[in-house]
Amino acid sequence: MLSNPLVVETLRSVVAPCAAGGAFFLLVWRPWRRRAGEPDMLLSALVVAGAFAGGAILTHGWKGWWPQDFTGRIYTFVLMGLVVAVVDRFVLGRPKPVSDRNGRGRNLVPTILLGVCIVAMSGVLVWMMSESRIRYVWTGAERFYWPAAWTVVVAMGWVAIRNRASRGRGSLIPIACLAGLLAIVLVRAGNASLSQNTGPIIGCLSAYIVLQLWKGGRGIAVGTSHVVASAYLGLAMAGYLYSPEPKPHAALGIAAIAPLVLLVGELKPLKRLGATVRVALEIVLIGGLVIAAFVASAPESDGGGDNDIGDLYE
Amino acid sequence: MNRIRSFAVATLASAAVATGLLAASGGATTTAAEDTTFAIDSMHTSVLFKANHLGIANFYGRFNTVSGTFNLGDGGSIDVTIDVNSVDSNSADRDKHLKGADFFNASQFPTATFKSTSIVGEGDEFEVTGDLTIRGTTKEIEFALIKTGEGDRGERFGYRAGWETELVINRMDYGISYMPDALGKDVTLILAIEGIRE
Repeated sequence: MLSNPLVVETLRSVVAPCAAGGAFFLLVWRPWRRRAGEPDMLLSALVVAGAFAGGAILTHGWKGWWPQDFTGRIYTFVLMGLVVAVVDRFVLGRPKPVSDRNGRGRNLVPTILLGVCIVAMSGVLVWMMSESRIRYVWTGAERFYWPAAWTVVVAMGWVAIRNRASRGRGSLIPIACLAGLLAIVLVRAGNASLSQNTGPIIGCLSAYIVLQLWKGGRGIAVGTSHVVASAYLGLAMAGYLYSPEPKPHAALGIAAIAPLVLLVGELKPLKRLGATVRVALEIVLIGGLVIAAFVASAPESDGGGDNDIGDLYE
Repeated sequence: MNRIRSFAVATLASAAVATGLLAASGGATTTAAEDTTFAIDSMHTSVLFKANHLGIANFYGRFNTVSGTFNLGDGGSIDVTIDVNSVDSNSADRDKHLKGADFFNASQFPTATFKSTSIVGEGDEFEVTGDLTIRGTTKEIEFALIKTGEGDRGERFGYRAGWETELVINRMDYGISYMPDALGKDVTLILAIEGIRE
């Protein structure tokens, strides 16, 4: 089995960072203590960030500081997520929904601060990924409206993920499904290494889902959400901007706006749905987006084959 | 007698001047063609790459669009630009993958280039040193350039020269680190250029 290069690659860039992150998490949290409470939201954020950054560096190699090649910057996505997680932790004090069940704002000033921070970090993320586009490809007004449009998309997706994470048990399940959607879309777009980078996110989220279902743990979900949002949206944007073919753009565009599906439970008629029904509804919607992404990126019927990337190297 | 002496002096002076000119021109190693700049004929130029697959066999691919110039005369230079989007591996899906972030990242770095910094040699063989840039990373490389042919091929084809080289690079040096266990790190580049005199 270890002679299969795809397995070796997965062990190296996905399993190893997740295992290291898990060990760190357990050592800091020490759940075997009698009074072990819920782990701090920053700990869960730090673990996902470390696993993602480690996986990205193991996948793309260390390309110095500050690399021209966008793949050398991928590991830094999570820094923006960590900044917002720290602000969320210390400004809001403890993980809370942005608004209450009736849609009324809670903690207005801290929430606005958090929103400003998310928009600012979204802007940094967009600048990091589109810098070479701004310099060499986009001209005139494009240099402003493309980054501005991406900042809006990223910030909205970020808010949607953060908001969803703070709502009830199993809130990480649809977020993990979103990461799965992105992995599929990226590999279909010919960016297997970017798809690989979603591995540590999915791995950590899977562990947190078990923990969340077992212990509750809104803190884990909220802390994780910022790091996942920055990594997810950064990867979706990178895939879109640097996709070698025009065909997958629609699919990657779908992946970029997919987090907005997580706001469906905020719609008035659906607000009273139970947690399980809401999760099920979101999974169905994300499944629909996967199908839409497949249709959007379907290869030409006469074009040189319909091979999976794995087939080409096995 | 004076006339004979004057003739001898003039002859020696001419010989000395000729020798000096010869020395200044680099030891008479440069032919007329070497002083000429040639434009690369993309249609008849081949850039192949060879990489090991799974430790089993060598796989060959190519780039179909190459441009640039070369001049192997004194103070000459070689300037080659490869359109990375023209990569051809005999599979449309694999070409898409090769153009993506996993390999050449063609959206961000659409070209690979070589610019010579030193050309030493004479006749049919030169030692070339220069900067090879792939995926935005530049490394100095050296290779031997061997002449494969040269001549006037009439009005239709013009005056042409052909050169060829083979060199090995480590793809990891250029940030192409995907699948280090499945695909060989050492990649052989075979460059066979044909140029038309400008």
